[in-house]
Amino acid sequence: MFEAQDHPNDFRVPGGPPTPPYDNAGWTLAMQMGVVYDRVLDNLTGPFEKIAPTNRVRPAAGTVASANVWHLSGAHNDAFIVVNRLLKANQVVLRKPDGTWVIPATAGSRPIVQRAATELGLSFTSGNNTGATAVRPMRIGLWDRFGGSMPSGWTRWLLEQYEFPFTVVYPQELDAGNLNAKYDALIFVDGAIPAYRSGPAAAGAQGQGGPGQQGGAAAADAIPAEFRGWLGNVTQDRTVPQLKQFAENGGTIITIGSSTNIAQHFGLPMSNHLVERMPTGEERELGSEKFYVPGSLLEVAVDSTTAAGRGMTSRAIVMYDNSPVFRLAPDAQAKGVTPIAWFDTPNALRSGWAWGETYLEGGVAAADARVGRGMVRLIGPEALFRAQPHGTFKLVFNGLIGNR
Amino acid sequence: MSWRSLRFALSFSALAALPLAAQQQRLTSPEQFFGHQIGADYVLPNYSKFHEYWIRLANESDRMELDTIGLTAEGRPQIMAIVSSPENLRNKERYRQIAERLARAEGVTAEQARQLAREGKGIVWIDGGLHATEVLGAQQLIETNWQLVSGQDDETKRFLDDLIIVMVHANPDGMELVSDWYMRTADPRRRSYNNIPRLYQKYIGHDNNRDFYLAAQPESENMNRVLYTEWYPQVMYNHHQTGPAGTVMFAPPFRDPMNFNIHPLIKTGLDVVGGAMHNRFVLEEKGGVVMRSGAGYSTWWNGGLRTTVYFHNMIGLLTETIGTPSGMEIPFIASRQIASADLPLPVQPGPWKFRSSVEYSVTANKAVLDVVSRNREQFLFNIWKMGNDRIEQGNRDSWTIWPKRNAAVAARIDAENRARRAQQQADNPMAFLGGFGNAAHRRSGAADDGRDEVAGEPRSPRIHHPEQPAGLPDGRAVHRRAAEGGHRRASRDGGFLAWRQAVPGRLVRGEGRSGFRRARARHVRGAGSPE
Repeated sequence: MFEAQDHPNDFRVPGGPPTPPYDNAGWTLAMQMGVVYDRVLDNLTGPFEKIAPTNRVRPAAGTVASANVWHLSGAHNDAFIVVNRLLKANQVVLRKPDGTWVIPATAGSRPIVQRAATELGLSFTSGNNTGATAVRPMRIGLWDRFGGSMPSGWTRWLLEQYEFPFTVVYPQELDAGNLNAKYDALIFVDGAIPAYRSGPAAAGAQGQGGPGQQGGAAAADAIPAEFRGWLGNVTQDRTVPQLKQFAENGGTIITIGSSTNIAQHFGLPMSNHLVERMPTGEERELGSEKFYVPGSLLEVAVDSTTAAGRGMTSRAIVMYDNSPVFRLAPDAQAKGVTPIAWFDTPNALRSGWAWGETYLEGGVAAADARVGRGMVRLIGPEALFRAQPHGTFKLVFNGLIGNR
Repeated sequence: MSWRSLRFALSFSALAALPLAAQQQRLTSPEQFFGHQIGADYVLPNYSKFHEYWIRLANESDRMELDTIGLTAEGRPQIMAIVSSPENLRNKERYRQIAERLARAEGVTAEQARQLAREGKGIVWIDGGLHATEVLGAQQLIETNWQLVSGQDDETKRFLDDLIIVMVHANPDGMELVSDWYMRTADPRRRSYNNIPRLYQKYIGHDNNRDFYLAAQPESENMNRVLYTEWYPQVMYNHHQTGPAGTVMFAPPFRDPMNFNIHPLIKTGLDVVGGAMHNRFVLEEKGGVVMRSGAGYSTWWNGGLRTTVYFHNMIGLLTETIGTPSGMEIPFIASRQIASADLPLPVQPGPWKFRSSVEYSVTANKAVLDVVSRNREQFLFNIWKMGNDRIEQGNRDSWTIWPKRNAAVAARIDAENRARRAQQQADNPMAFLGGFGNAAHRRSGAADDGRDEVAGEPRSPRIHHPEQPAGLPDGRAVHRRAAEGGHRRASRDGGFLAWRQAVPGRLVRGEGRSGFRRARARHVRGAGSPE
């Protein structure tokens, strides 16, 4: 829970490839959850009571100030539950640039706020709406595939827990286009968007999918009709153009892990940071004998003034699983790319195993990129990893509440 | 309705008492109930039938009670059989309490632990079906339970006298989905559980074995509740598929890296129980069971059903077994045909029946039951010992040696040795030759920096304590603290607290606190890392 993991360097042969851990190398939950904690070496006394092992701890009830306008801290993930409930009830919610939520006290908002204070332990203080902008709910589509993607399933569970309204979207629907008519935001978790390929192989590039692709029509025939609409994959030739149009028309695309491949498909001004320069000047991706970080916790710097980083602090711990890291082109910011989080130290490892961690320094972990009237969010690390890293949920959640 | 009242309403079946003689007559066999042997070709009963069968058996047998441990993500009751002798079942609350007291250890002396171990029953958990397309798991649960409930042999009776066996269905929703998908095809030879449209746990599918330290999903929470607040098994066994190519099964013990944070009795316990499993396979002439290097499974990561238990001082077992009701072949793999330390008895390549996989699973289960039955007191005492050790360690200055710090100390010693050799060579070029034969991490000479004289053995606090910068790469002062005498005292007088007292004000007020504060500040910033 609290102890950092120090995975031994595990190589069969010195200089050879690393032996992968069976699953993660580091997972310290308190770090993933952004819990601030310390090691206490002395006997700790205080007004404590022993909690029975079977007793589930509930947060103490929060307070609700007597006010016309409430402030709710943007630091709480649970604030999204309240905001989603208020928006669902057609209540006005605003947000300040520092992430603070602003809720006018009305007959409609009061019971929702009151209940959230009791159940979620959130406190609503007296505030004002100076500098705040009204927000709106977004129509959210969550990519999934035939057979079910686990990262998509975890995300589905999380969206339900935080009470975001959403629809599960399968590739055939994406390929059909006209996405702006149905969605404001699309989420592509790890494994959804295939790597960019140039040349003749491009048409075949696809993400993970079901039997309809590999087995052709015969396999699809064996699938009951009700599930055939789930078949197919995200492809470079059919899906990507529709996604591009969706973004250009004002849609938001949130990508995590390998789905940040979309950066290459869209020709965004960035490249892979995890490369080495050969004597010829050519850049080559680092091999696992030089850089290998299996499921571990790394520390990044966060710009909490960005739209994505609102409510976060200036440091975060991310679940990193040999995840993409970006190097922005010199003109990237001029072209509308905003870094959200980056590796600013040669020793980013906090828990797990990071072989060659110094290569990470200077790399961008997450960025927003303007695309036409819309935008793409690229999150390299597993920001929603198995519903564990509460410290980085906001990178996604902040993208799922729109500006009015 | 509270969960506790709901669960007993759901497990209505368990209490019906029938005369003993009548029961043995009236037990419904799997063949009678399902219409085929468990493990028969081309059939997979679903969870509804499984549930119905266990209700029937629990009503018929006085060796089995049925409990419902919660609801699943899709709302099905998740069931658990409690199997033991009729007498033990009558006193099961007493045995449950003994298991609880020993596992929690707090307030139990060694002598009390021995007495409780003598009186108590071994608690063994066996589950099945967690990964629903690994269909063997749930099927072997039916067969094993049947053999325990119906067996009249001496060994079975000994198991039931010595043990309380909790048999848990780990993923009811998944079994329903997968079996129904398999059976939907009319032609048995075309049945397959490939291409299932959705995940076999409503949200997370295969990741249901990645959830046990978070317990986001109801099945995880249900099982954690039984493991850690109700039955406290000393040994638990989590069934999976499939086995490495050219073998039938992977069974413990596990490869490195071992998680050095878990109690060493877990490692030795895995060796004991794993050894008993392999031993029984050889005795029964069932070949093809590999261990350790035979597969990638380890004790390092701790989010799985059988790995989270290590942090509760329970011996968690995993097997990965081949087999499908649609039939398969064991391929010829040359390296799996020669007996080796990790594969005592190879298996012949060739066709493989699902029923054989069921039989292997039963062998493995019985091996576990046998070793715990024969060493019941030892297993019960050991869980107390582990718990008690951890409580004691938490109450004094105790630190786990990490690879990083270990490597830092070794690197520093190497550097010093190199410097010394260089100096010796400068002083007397011939001495270099004499010094060259030393092993890499040896040192000798004056303990000018507080390290012990023993070659290569740094004093424990220097590398144990996260605030001890013993040769750490971030360059925090090493010599300075030692010169103040703190480390010397710490290692002799029982640890860091003694050291703190011996250097009053150092951590609280004095100038010297900066190193300590710097590290603290890093925690507070959210990193949490003691580095």
